[in-house]
Amino acid sequence: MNLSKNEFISLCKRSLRGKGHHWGVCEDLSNALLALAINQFPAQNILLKVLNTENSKIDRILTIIDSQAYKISDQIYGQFYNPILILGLVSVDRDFNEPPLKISLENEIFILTNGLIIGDRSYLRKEVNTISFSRNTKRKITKQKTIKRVSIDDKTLKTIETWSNMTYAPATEASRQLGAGSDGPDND
Amino acid sequence: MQKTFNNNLSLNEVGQRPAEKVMRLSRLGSFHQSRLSFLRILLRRISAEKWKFKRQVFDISEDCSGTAVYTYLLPNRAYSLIAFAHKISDDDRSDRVIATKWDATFTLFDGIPSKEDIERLNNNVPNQEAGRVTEKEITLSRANKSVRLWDYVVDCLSKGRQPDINEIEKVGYMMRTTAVYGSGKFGAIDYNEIADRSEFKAPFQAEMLTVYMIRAFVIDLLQHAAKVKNPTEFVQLEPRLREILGVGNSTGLGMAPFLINHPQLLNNWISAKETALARIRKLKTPKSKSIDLFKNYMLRSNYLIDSWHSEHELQIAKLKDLRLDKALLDKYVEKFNFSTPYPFNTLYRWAEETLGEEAQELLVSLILEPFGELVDDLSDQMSDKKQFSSKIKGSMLIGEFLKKTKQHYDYALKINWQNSKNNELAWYISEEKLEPRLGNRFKEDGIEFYEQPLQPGRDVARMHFDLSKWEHSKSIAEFLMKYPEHRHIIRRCQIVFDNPYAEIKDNTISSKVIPIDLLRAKLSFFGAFHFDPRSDRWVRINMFKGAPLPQTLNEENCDNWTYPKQKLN
Repeated sequence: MNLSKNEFISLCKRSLRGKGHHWGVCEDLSNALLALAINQFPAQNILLKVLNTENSKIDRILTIIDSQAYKISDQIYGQFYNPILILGLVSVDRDFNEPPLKISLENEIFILTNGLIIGDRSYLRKEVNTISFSRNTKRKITKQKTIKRVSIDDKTLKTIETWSNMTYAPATEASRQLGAGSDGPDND
Repeated sequence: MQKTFNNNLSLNEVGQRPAEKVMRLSRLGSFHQSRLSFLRILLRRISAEKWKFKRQVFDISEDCSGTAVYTYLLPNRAYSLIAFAHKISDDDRSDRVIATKWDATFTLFDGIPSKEDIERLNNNVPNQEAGRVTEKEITLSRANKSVRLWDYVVDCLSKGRQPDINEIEKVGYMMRTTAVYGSGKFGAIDYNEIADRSEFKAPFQAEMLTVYMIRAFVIDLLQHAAKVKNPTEFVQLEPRLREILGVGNSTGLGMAPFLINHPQLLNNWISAKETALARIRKLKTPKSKSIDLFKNYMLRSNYLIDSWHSEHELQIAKLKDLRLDKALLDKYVEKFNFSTPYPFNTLYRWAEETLGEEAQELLVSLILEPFGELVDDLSDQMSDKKQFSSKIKGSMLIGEFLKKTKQHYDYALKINWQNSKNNELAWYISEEKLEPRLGNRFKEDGIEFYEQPLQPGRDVARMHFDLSKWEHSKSIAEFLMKYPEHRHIIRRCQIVFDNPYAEIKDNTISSKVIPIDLLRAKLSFFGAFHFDPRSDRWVRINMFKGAPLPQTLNEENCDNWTYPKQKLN
């Protein structure tokens, strides 16, 4: 299915919430996943991986944007799970016109510039211990296309939706009576 | 006895109204449409740019089902409303989100649709949430008939006579929309993909355009029904009656979370209106033409108030107060000396001291009315392209954060959240067609688990409790590392620190909350009037009532219709 960006964000947010992530974490991760998706990274697979990772391990990578480590440090150390998410998080956090930023997830290099995330889209490392940042990149930047729709296959969508569905209250008659408009006919 | 009012004010005292006054639920629930309302902005643009309106297709059968296409041609592009009319039974007619059939369904198409487009949409649009549209479509909508009025008017026209205006006035519309979805919903194009088009610069312009075109379709369908009923004797509806008919709208709880979930956008709407009011209050000697216009609108607003009916106790009481206050206001304005310096400031200050919130807010809208040249530019500042992506300023020191929290959320920090009455309600979404609901957390077993983050006051209090134990010299980033559960409210607070009108300064989960106050605030910015609550959680309204139809809209009449020129009946 081809999802609009809004639908994709909503799917990410609800599924992450269904997994038990805190609301604010869901907001940032969803924006990061959208940034990856529009740069044609396999965001739906990354989302699935995030949904299969312990929440506290994911929370840790948010400190990179909160502390602005990518602006003030050249290298940071720690256990960073689903490191590809960092590219999305930093991409969203940066101002559009900031100079290009080179991020090395150990041996793999990515360039962030003007909303673009350039690098190996099949990058799949589960964990890295060192992340380097360089604000003086001399590498030639090839422009790449971004996409406006996010394509998700039905099987993956269904798996993700099992998480989103956990955020909806079960339909009961008592609850139905509490909905707006339950108190009168509409044939007037 | 009428209060006397001290007019001893200096210009320095004229500023924007503080958020603490404006952002209370009772005041938001007293807002009226104004010239900064979105449908007003749309009509100004259509007439200024001379968009051309055309009915392309009207393929409606004798049972009043079928397809119609209406197109607005702009200088560089076109937008088409594709309407599908359906025959449904009375048992299937429901305004709730959980409905599955409607009298008519619609989509706003980007361009002029081909036959293939119409066929594709015919397979999807009638199913609404269960169908899919594409990036060629901008909105998805549906509407139900006001059965009683529909049957009456069709009957009259089919017999060759015009319907009684009093009967039309009782309802005010032939169909009411029950949803107008936009911005990427169900596969439609994302708002940010079209936000750069000048016609969509102000908020909700595509949705307003959809409803305006629906209005034209509904009148055609009505006349078609009369013709089918009696092809030899039927007559067309008189132009005056056509214009009186607006498009109704039934709005429930789904609209309430929107305002809480879009703090930056809410700020931009309110800020524009407050800036407009402040600009006029600062006018030392307004032109006499503007003053005459204001007096004219004052008079005409009485016709609008007279035709505003509600059977709900909440609105009946508000309308009673409004009518009494309006009489007081009329009397005051009649004797008021507009040649005193800053007359509109004096008038507003008097109203604030003397009248209830309904009448105060009506006055605010009326004050804005004659000053298009001074305030209409503010419509360009009402959108928010950055929605959902506000960044957390992690380097902010906790000491500064606490100080600002106290300043902006004093109301929330004073509430005793241990008192169950202050914490009684929970906003949640049902798995039944994802209908938003509001329940009692102490009575509905387990709903707390599904609670949405729509209680900023309580969440701020919880965050403040944890944060106040931290050293003031530490950063927010350090705090969030330990308390990720407060991330959403920290972000929200930082938005509010810079945008004072971003927050509703009331408890949104108190046992006393009236959800329709939130609905009314949003609907007033749409340009709705005749708010008619059906309970404390859903409301019917009217849009475009009295507005010129696309065929007669021009620069002369595009902004001079909200207050009727004469008594309607």
